[in-house]
Order: sequence, then C-alpha cells, then structure tokens
Amino acid sequence: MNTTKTAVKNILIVEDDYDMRQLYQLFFKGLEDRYVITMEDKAEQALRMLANKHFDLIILDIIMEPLPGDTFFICARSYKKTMFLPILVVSVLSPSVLLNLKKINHAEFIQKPVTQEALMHKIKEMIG
Amino acid sequence: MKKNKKIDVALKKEVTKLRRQVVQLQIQEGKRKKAEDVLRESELKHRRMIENAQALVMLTRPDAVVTYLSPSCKEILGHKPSELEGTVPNIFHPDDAKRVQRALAQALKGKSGSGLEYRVITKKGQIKWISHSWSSVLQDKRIREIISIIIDVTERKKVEEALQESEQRYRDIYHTAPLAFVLWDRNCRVTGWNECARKLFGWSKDEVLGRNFFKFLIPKEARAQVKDVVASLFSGELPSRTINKNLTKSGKIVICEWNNTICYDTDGSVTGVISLALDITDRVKAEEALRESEQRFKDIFDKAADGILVADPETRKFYDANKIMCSMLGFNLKEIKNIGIDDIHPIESISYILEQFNKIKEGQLRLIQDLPMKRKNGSIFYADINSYPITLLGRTYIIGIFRDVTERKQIEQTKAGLIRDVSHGLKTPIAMTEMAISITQEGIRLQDFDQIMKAQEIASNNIKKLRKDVDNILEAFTLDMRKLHVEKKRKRRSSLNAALSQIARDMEYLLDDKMVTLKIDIAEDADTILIDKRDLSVVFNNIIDNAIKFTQEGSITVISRDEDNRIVVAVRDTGCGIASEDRKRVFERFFKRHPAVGGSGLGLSICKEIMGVNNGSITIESEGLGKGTTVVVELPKG
Repeated sequence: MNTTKTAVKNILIVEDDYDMRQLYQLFFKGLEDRYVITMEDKAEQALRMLANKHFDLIILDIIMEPLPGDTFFICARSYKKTMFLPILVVSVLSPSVLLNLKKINHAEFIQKPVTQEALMHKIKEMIG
Repeated sequence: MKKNKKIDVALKKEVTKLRRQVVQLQIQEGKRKKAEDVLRESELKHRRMIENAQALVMLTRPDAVVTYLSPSCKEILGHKPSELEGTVPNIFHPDDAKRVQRALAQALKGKSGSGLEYRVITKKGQIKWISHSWSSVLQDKRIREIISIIIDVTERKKVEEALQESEQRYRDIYHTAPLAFVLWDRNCRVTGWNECARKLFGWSKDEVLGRNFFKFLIPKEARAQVKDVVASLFSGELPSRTINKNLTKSGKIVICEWNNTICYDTDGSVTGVISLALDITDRVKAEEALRESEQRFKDIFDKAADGILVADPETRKFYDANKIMCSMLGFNLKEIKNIGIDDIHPIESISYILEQFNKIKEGQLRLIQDLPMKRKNGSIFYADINSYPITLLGRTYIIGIFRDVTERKQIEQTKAGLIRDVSHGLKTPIAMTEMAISITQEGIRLQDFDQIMKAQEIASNNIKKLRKDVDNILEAFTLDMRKLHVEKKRKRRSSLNAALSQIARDMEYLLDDKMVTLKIDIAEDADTILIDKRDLSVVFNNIIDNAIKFTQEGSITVISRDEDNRIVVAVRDTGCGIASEDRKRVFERFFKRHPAVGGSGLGLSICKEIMGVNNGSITIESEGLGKGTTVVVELPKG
C-alpha cells in the first residue's frame, strides 16, 4: 500500500441546484489529482452512495427537497461508518441560524457566496 | 198586827220597787255594757285598722303639734311615734319646706287637702317622697284636730321620674330627629306632625292636622300602593318598611322610606298609626346612577372584542366573565362562576401564574404576554393579558382582559418563516451570480474560455431569476397601492398572441435544458382582451414560468377560446401537479410548497390580484401530485 501524502480525496457533494453543481464543477476543474468529486442532487441517493463508497468529505446543502440537508446530516452521523466523517455545510443561511437547528453540530460551515479560493482553503483545512 | 201587815205590804211594795229598780239598773248596766262592748269593739277595730295600715295616720293639734302617729311612722319616717309625738316635726326636705309649710298653714285653718307630695328626710337621713292628705275635725265649730294620712310614694315617684325622663327623650326625638313623624287615625287623618315632617314635606302642622293625608301627601302614581299598606296596617299586619313617592307642598316628588307602628287602645283595636319617614330621594338617585353606570360597564363588558374575566383576589374564583371569554375557554357563564384561576391554565404553569397574579394584586404588574390557557376540553392556547385591580360595588376584584395571541404567534412564526424563505429566495441567485463572477475572473486569468462561458451562463440565469423575483415583490407592493387608488383610466386592449409570443422568446433559455415543449394556440377570435398589456404580460409570465419550473419533461400548452364575451385561456402542463391540501393555498402570498423551490412565492397571488382589478378570474386545477396542472384564466373580451 502506497500511502503518499498527496493521496486523492473523495468528496461527495449533495446539492440540488443545477447552477450550483455547475459551479462546483468549475471550482474543482483542474484539481482532479487532488480531489475526485461525486455529485448527487437528491439526499436520499447520496445516503445510498455513502453506504457503498468511501468518501473523505461531504459537502452538503441544507435547503433541499424532498429530504432536507439537516435530515441527511443526522442520518450520516448515525451510520457507524460515517459518524466522524468531515462534513462541510455550504448554504446561503448563516452559520448562526444553522447552529440553532441543534441537529447540526460537529460540522464546518461556510456561507454562500463563497469564492473558489475560500472554498479550497476550507477543504484543505479539513482534509488536506 | 194590822199595823205590821201594812208595813209588810209597804215593805213588799218597796222591795218590789227596788227590785224593779235593780232590774232596771241591771238592764241599763247590761245595755251600757253592751254599748261599751260595741264601743270597745269599734275602737279595737279602728285601732287595728290604723295601726296596721301601711299609711301613716297622724293627728295634729291646731297649733301644729303632733298628738298621734300610727306605728307606720317607724317604717315611713324612721322615727318611733313617741319621738315625734308632742312636737312640731321638722323633717321636710329643704327644697320642699316652703311649699309644704304654706299648704299646712292652710290646713290648720281648716282647709282640707289631698295628695300633697313632698320629700322628707328620715331619721337615717334617707330622702323619701310622701303623699299627704288631710282633713280637719271640727268640734263646736272650732278645729279640734287635723287627721292626716301619709303614704310613702318614693317608689311611685321614681317610676314617675323615669317615665318623665323617658317621655322627655321621646319628645326630644319627636321634635329634633331627622325623621319625619306623621301620626294618623283610622280615617287617615293626620293627628301628629313634627318639625321634621314640615321641613321634609313643606306643610306646617296647622295646614295638615285633621286632613286626610291621601289628599295632599300621596301622588297619583303611589295611591294604590299606599292604600294597600294602609289596609294591611289596619288589619294588623305590619309591613316593616315601605318605599313610595310622596308629594311636597312645592309639588316636587320625593321618595321616602316609611316605618309604621300601629297604635292600639286597651281593648286591642287599632286607633291609629305612627309613621316615620326618611327622605331617600338622594339615595335612590345615587342608586340609579350606580345602576346606570353598572349597565354601561356591563355593555362594554359584553360588547368588548376581547375576553374579560373578573376574579376575587382572595379566593381566586371568578365573579364574572363576558361572552367572548366564555367562548374562548369553552365554558358557559354558570360554569365559569364555579371555577377559578387554578382551573384555566395547564398545571405546569400554575405556580408561575399565581406568582404573577400576586404581583398584579399589588399593582406591580399589568401585562403578561403569551400566557398558556387551558380550555374546558383541555386544549391549550396562548393569550396576552392586561390585568389590574378594580372596584365594583365597593369591593375589590382583579379584572383581566384576554387577547388570544395564538393567531398572532402563528402569524409571527409564519412571518419569520416567510422572511427566511424570501431572504433565501433572493440571496441564492445573488450568491450564485457572485460565485459565477469570481469563477469568470479565474477563467479570464487562466484564459479558459469554456470556464468563462459556463460561468457567464450561470451568472446570467441567476440574474434573470433575481430580476423576476424582485419584479414580483415590487409588483405585489404596487398592487396593494393600486387597490387603494381605484383605477379609473380606460382599459386598454391587448393581444394574447403578442404577449405570449414575447414570453415564449424570453423563456426559451429555460426550456433549453429540459425535455419540455411550449405550445401556444390562440384562436383569432379569442385573442383580444380588455386588459392592460403590462398586466397581461405579468400574469402569463408568472403562469408560464411556474409551468416550466414544475415540469421536467413533457409539454406546456396554452389555448384560448371565446365564451360569451369572455376569453378563457388555459395553460396545461405535464408537470409535478399540486397536492390536494396545497391547492387552496397556492394563491397565498409567499406560499411555496417547499423552501427549496426557487422563486418568491408571489407569482400566483399577483395573478389573482391582477385578475381582481381587471374583472377577471384565475383558477387552478390538478388531479394531484405527478398529474400535471392546468391554470385557467378568464377575462373580458376586448
């Protein structure tokens, strides 16, 4: 097993907005050697994805339907496998509002709009 | 012998004579003895009478010296008869002495007298009242002596004095009390009338004595009532208190409270009545004013739009509640009067509420917000309470004015939710545009045209979304203003086709990524509508935007037809449809099925309001989720 410091990280992005998904594509363009992204537009499918594949980070939107992001969060945290998996919540809602939803804890927050630079910096901080 | 015989006969004669004389003497002696006995008996009888009489019998010589006092002297005067006999007694009370001596001087001259009352001082220094009656005994036209009968009247005098005092007291009351005394006889004629009666009714004693009081004291409206009272008084019934109107001399009517006492004579029949009257006109007026004020309060109480509850500060039980309060709590008034504060709140809040209640009692607190209340059926609601002590008929109560704020709370929660949603709705396209712009800058730096193009598209789309949302919000506000200023300008005519064609062009970019076709089929005779071009655009922009948003694949068709001078336009899509429970809410402002759905949530509400202003209507039909939606718009033909 060759575990180099620059191992590729798998990131699961759960985001229902088409444009936002496009933006994420653009954000991560050219960084395929470091980050491999998997996008899901429905939280339910994303949960199934979690069960089958290994991820190093989840980037999560909150306001989605039919299953909202905070419910996804609880489910992810209740799986033994993903109990301590780093989750980055990306939303227009401010972190203070999100923390009021007591369910969202042990997560990192970043508020939209977010520059590519800021996003990458945060990701590096979380998983390297 | 002859001589002897003659002497014998003479002797015998003499003896017989003597015997006769002796017998006579004996008879006389007997008579005399009898007379003596009678006299002795009589003397004894009289002596006994005198000596045993309680009255003091006194004999006085014309020179005022007392010759005899009966044994009662000891009891009445304290002296033994022997101590005073032979003297001119000086035992009069100094205050009475002069009066008495004058009278007794007359007595010694032969005048008799009776019932002279005066005080004496007994041997022991006691003061007693005696009543002295006397007459003189004449002999040979001269006064031999004066016989006096003296009775101890001390007790009687005491009673007399007490009676006099009592009489004086009653006399005082009669004359000075603030009660009017009216005395009247069986024929309702006035027999007594005191000063107070004069002051109260105006007539003087002379003006009313002997007159039937019905003729001047009772006004027409009170006659029947007073007649009844009089009848029952004379039949022995005592109506304890009656209140009726009375006439005064000046013609003014007063209201008096009458207390009547029946007077009887010795054989029990009614002779008349003593009536006492108290002028209660002012009191009655005050009572009426109080009742009026009470009625006013009752009106406010009953008609108030908020619930009002009145509680006893000590028992915490309810004294009164208005209708609204009863319906708020689900109890009827009778039930509410049997319960208290402890019964209308959920158990866990009671200690807090009692704490607040005490503060209210002391005037420290007046407003409690969001207080939980428990209805009869156990359900909970919230109320704001304004509470403070009040005085009702002299007693202090705590009054609470309740306003159900459940609705307000819900509205507040909805508002908070709305603000969150609208903010999110607006912030999202702004954030997207900002991010897209930063990506564009990166793209320019990297000379990556593909990146620049994609980013620009994202920016453009989101700016359009933003514009639509901002337009809708502004439109909603403008509509509010338009409703206030009723538009009188002439309605313009617009072409459906023209408007729809423009909309189709504007929305083309949205259809690009979807497998959805937009078909517009407007008949020529169903094209012109009596509506402003701008309003028509706004309406169909919103309807078609919705159709596109909620349809992922299939088609959107717009058709119109003429129906009796009205144009009916239907926009049917094969999209996700509307759940039945949401159908009635779709026209509400800011209603969105889910916060994740893009847009302001104002589209349909704007359409409806524009329809209202333009004499049109809009309805929405859907067989349910997944079964598409049809929006039908109806407007006057232009």
